[in-house]
Amino acid sequence: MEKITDLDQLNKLLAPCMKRGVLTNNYLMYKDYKQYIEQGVLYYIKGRSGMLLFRDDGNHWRLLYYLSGFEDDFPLPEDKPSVMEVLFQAGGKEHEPVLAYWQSKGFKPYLPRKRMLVPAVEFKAASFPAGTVVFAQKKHAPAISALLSASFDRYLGCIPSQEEIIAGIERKEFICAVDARDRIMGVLEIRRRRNLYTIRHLVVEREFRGRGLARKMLAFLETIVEKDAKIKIELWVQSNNPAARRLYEKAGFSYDGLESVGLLYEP
Amino acid sequence: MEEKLLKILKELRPEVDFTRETRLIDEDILDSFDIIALVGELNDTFDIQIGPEHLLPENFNTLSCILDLVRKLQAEG
Repeated sequence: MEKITDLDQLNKLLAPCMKRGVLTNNYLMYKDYKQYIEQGVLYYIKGRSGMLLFRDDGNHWRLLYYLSGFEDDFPLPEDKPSVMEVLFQAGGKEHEPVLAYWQSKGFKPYLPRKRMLVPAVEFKAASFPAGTVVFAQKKHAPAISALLSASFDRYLGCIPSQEEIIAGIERKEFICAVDARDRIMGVLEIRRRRNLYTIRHLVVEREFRGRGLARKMLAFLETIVEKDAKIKIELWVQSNNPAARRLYEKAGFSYDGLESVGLLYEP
Repeated sequence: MEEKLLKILKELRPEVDFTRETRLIDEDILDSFDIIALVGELNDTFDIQIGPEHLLPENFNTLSCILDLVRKLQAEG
């Protein structure tokens, strides 16, 4: 595995791969590459009919592939797990040989998810009395970090560090349900990029479930999203979580056909 | 060339009026999945090499921006 040290090298490696018919799960843009190269976390392995990019995510390698065939036997890193995500349109078949190929190399599929979308003007969370849902404050960061780490997948769960949580709190991206003692009962993380809001995380502590706290946090969110016809809200829901799907459907979300499955290789 | 490009774009996102939109990326009309699919088609159709360095919003925000990118890369050979 070789390190990618500059954008020129990256261009020479990737440009020939960006062709019609080459199977890929890489949707990074220039600003992402620039950041990763500056951080020194991007590596590659070249094969006969494909190439793999690896991003060092600390406790695992995030794998991005370009495949124009399935002949290669890439030497996978053995120091920590490799994880990738394969995205596909519901009803499509193009991803099936890709999944079969990676499973033949020792990857195990997990965490199937579906994307749900709602135009912001149609987002309708039930309104509940206010008081228990607030924007998070810095003092909530450790509890938020603990709840997210305990609730979401450590590789594909996009779990933020405490520093990232604190930065997100300052940008008002964390909404919390808190009890009378200001303990965190639930968290909703929202991120906006241009005309798209993404609900990155929504979770309620196990002992507080069944009280409608998720709906309350969605109701709070409804009061702050910009209701413009061009704006949408998206989220990814686990395919085997019908209760979560029903919650979001009641708020106006529906599947848009995009699905993903994670693949994990543990040496 | 513009016609060929429009055909590619229409096949990708038939519901979008690419002759009128001026903020394809800024308004998330095209997302990163669309861009990567588009790049593959452009590279093959026009025999160019759009690479990571070109994956910037300003290169894909309008039909004319995309056309300029294709022309520039064709000229660079």
